[in-house]
Amino acid sequence: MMTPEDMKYVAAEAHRIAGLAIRPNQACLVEHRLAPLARAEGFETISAMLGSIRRDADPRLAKAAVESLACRESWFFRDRKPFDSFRQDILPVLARARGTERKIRIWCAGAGNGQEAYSLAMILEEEAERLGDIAVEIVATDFCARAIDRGRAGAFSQFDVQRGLSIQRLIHHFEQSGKDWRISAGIRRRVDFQQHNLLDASAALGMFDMILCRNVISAMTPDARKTVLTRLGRHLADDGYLILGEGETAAGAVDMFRSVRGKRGLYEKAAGDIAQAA
Amino acid sequence: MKTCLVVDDSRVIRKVARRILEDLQFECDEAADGASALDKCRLSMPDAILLDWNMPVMNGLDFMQALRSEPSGDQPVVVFCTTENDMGRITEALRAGADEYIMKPFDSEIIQSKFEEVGLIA
Repeated sequence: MMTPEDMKYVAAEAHRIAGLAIRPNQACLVEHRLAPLARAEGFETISAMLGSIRRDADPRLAKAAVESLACRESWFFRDRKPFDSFRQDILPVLARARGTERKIRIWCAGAGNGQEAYSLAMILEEEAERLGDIAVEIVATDFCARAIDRGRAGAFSQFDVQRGLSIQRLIHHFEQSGKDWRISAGIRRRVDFQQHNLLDASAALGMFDMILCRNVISAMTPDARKTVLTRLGRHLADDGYLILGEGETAAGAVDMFRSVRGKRGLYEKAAGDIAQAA
Repeated sequence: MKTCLVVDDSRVIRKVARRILEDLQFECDEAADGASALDKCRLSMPDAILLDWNMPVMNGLDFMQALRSEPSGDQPVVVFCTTENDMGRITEALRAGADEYIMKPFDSEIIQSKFEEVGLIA
């Protein structure tokens, strides 16, 4: 059992390292997330592991613990609408706007196990004819190293590939690999996975035409949320788009974004073609 | 209310599937093999059919091929739901006229997701 002191310590570290907001009533969730790590690291209890982190000021283990807390579950084409929006509205607009550069860059910030990035990559594959020679680069980052490893491997369980994925897409884009289903090499090649903490400097990532940051900031404290949104804004092209998760909003946090009318969760920096058409 | 015929030789599977589908606002009927499913369809075509593959008397694939050649037999949305999880089997079912395909074991999220894919649920 974790003590209230343990919880306080975990909440403080989760906030310091990843901007996560952990409430005192989330002890069950925290225990559930930390138990596998404590076992893997050879500790009898979670308290023993936390004690060791504090005593030895072990930054590796502290980070691993917070990573376990930050790992999130997702599924293919989650919430559907953002992906419809990407295919129907955003992609054609960006393809026109980048007609000279012939290059579009997309950032999945907080990409989890890769379902979001791979969903976009499947759409790109399906739209390949319309895109012609325009190169689309997808950078998928997550704070959780295990998520990045899993994303890179591109292997998903039978359960994973039946949530959000039509049977046609499973047949077209996956191959059977033992008990798992592995997304095709062609789709994997489209996504570049990198471990990255959204609170850290990120200049090397460069500029993007679309950023998805879904179901990430809602788990953060207001100050971390503001830091992250400001950072995302700096990486977004002036005519680019930001997509947040269902029920998440950029309002109040920063004034760099304007919501696109009629498209919940979709934001732009400057007035683009989608807003004008709406 | 949309109707769904649950075809499976396991009473337990039928019961589980029926409960999930009723939660999704479907009116359900059950059949334990392809032949009795075909009889029920001839009386009244359901909107959807959740279909097992391996069953006695008439298996799911034979049932679906018979169904598709019936008058109005192209109307029901057929969702296979089977332990057959081989790519070859899946493509065989789709070529024979299946609309979606669920690999067992399933849960309510999978049924909901697959029924959304074929437009049975908004």
